[in-house]
Amino acid sequence: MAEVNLNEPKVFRKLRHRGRLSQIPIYLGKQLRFFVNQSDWKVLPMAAIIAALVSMVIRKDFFLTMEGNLKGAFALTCVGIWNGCFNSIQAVCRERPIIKREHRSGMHISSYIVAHMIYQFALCAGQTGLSMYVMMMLGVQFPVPGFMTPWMIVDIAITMLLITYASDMMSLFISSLSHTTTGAMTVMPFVLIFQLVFSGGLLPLPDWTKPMANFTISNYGIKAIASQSGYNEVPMVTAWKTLDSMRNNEIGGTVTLGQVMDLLDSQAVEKRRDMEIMKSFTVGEAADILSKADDTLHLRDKEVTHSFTLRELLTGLKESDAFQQLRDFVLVPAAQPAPVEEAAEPAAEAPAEEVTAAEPVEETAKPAVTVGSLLDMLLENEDTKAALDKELGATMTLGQVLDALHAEDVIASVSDKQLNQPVTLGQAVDFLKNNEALQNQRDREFTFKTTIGDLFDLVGEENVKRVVQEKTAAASHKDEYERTVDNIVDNWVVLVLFTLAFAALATISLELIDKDKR
Amino acid sequence: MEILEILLLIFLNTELSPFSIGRSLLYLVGLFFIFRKCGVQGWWALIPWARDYKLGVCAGREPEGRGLCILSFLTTIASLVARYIDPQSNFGLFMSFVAFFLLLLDLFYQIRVYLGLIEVFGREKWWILPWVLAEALVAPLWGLLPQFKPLWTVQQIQSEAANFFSGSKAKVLDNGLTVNLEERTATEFFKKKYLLRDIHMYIQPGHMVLLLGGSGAGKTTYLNAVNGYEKAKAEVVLNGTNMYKHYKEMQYDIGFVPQLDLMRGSDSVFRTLMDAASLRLPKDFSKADRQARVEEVMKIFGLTPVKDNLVVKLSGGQRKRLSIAMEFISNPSLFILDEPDSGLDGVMARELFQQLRKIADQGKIIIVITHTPDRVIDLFDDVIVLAKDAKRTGRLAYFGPIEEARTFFGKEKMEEIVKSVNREEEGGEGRADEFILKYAEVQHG
Repeated sequence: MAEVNLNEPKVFRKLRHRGRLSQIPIYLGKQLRFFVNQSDWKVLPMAAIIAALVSMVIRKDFFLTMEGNLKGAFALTCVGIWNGCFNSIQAVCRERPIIKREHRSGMHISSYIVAHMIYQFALCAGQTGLSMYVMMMLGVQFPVPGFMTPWMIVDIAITMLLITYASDMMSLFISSLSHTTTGAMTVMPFVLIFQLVFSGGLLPLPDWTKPMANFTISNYGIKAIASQSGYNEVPMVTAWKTLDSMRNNEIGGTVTLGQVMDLLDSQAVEKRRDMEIMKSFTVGEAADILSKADDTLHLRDKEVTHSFTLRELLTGLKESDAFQQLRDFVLVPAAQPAPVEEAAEPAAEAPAEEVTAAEPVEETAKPAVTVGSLLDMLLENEDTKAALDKELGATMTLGQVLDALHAEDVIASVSDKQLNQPVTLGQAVDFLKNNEALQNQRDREFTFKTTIGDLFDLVGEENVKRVVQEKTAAASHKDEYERTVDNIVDNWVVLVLFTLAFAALATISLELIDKDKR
Repeated sequence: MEILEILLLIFLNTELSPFSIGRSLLYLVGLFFIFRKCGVQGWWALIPWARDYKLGVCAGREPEGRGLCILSFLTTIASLVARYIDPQSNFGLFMSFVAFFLLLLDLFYQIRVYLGLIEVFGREKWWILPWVLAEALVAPLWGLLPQFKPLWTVQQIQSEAANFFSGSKAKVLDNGLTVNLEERTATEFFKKKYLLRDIHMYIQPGHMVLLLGGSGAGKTTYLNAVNGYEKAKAEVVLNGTNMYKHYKEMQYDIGFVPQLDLMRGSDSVFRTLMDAASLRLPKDFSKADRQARVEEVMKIFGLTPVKDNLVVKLSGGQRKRLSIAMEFISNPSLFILDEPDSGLDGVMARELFQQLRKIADQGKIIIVITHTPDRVIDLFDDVIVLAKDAKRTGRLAYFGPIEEARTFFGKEKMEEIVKSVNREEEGGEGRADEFILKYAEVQHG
């Protein structure tokens, strides 16, 4: 043995060991053996169970309503984050001392992390595929076609995979920071709570906390899924459902006519004075409307029973306006007690019909017989009483009546004739306000009692439903959930960036493993 | 007036009111005298934040004192910020939460430091309540009354051994291992701490060396410094090559077997060794070469019958052998083992050390830490004894042949040697400084 001069340059035989790239398969192999021998495969059935549970909640209205859409987006994002987080939260910290030993023996941390990335990607893809299949099996209806691909299920699966994978890398980073599995599992709930609370989906955030949402995977996951499933294109149903559930609730109260009339002066009415509340109809249009209504109401089949006595008929005739004009028409002039010859002369001058209807001239003075007196006499005559009080009548359907009247022909002949002028709200209000009879009864009280359902029926349930759903949907419209390629791709890109950033952070933090205390 | 308030907040951690100022002054006076009783200079009580650290030092709880110091600083910052923001604003509410959180932590650390102080003063634990609730009264009470005396103080080290260094260097030869370690330090809380100092030795090839020392003597730190994993201010030369300068090239020429069996239970014995071979053997080794080497190593360590078994299914002895085999696969010149016999019975441990002896006989250097050396001492050539000097620095108390060690320490058994250098409170004889000085003088000539 000889003394050595350490200042002399040393020449080494070039011994090259495995580089970063060729170390990846070593660790990939270890991961796969872990999957088989250490029950890592259990995450797959777990993912299926979680997907089944979520499906039961979201399957009914995922793609049908705004609420269902948001609920579904939130639930799927939670599933992705949960699966991803629990895939790798213990992956590094459980073997940290082993990594330290291997790092000492020449293992490259980047190779180790890349091997994890490849393995975890396969695991996430498996979980996503399984989850989608379970959802489909349990009745979540994915519409066809999709937006980015020909199948919506593939669209959603891509987003789910990106969410799961980004979460997986996030927990890989946490696992790289933690020295023990207990430490990692202690941090995990806080991270999950942060992800869920600051997702900005179901829980509305105050403005000052919104920037925090930009740092959550869940925020971009929800945006992507809500955009893909057309959040802005479906109705919002909660308000209508709430109203509908109050259908049997009774409402009522006492108001004066004056209070009701005062409503006519309100700004709301004033603003809408020009609103047409009744358009003009032609006879044909009115007939069409009635005809369409008859399809559901079946008015033509309604039986019309008309029963009356001759007395009622004559009494009605007697009271009619037309009859009043005839009432004083003299049928037989008054007769004075005079010789028969004198009396016969004017009778000869009378019109023929009057002559035929005239009573034989009596000897005594007699009042003139008018149409009115004749009718009175007839109604008061005891001999005709039985005949007059006998019931007459028939039962027919309204259709038969209309047919008998040849209503269709009549309507056809005047179908283009305008029935009315359009009526504006202003005109109607003016009419009511200027109506003296109404004004005179301003203090008259009305007690009304009804149900919300009856009000729906009054206004038209479909109208109320449509208006409520349209208005609430418009109020809930969100640009960030608009179904556009830009929106979806932007969110996908951010999720990929999260993945890469967390993987890089995991590598950096693990590079410091040599500083661990022994 | 505002400046006065800020100064009071920083220096006395109090607000501008006679009662608060009086309370803080009382506390500081008490602290001043407690510090003096404990062997710390009293004026530290006047330095904001640092006084919390020094209180931790007095209480024998330096880490807690450090935490208290940081928390105290952060609380002061939070209080200063709180002065200038609207408490009802979002930021104000957030800062309130931060301040509350800091106060909780501060209280937690305070309790730990006070408990330490109670222990140092040999008092009952119920004193913690007065300390937490009325520190301004208890501190002067403990500081001024003579019956409150610490059982031990922060010592001013006057040990001769701690300040004497051999100054000699071991020879550097083209074969064997030379270690010339000046110092290995670590910085903790802005303070340089010596972990190891003045360790010089030359180990011949083919020697199996026992590394002894009490807990905290720096055995693992020393081994990490020797193999270049945690570099020290040192010159480590293996077979004529400076390991610190050529760590990348020499990395595979050193095998370090950790105390725990750090292997994946999900791998089989064969796969574990194949992966170890892939990492440790040069790239120009073909798969067949690697496989042949693995088969050879399995045969040496008696692992062939269990080659397809999962690691998790192996017995303790088999796992130890596998762990050693993983490092042996690259045929290193220097082999370091940290307690390879832990968890093994006497028979299995002896078998293991006999295998190591065979490896050493092939011209390798083997350094082994073990806590039960006497059952296998006949297999070793040399012994290294590390001990903590009065300043708690790891020093070399002896290096040389086993027989000479017995003479040097006047002890027959290795375990007795360890006991002789261990501190009295650890159940030892507390003679570390004596042997450190003696060995340094021998080296110094």
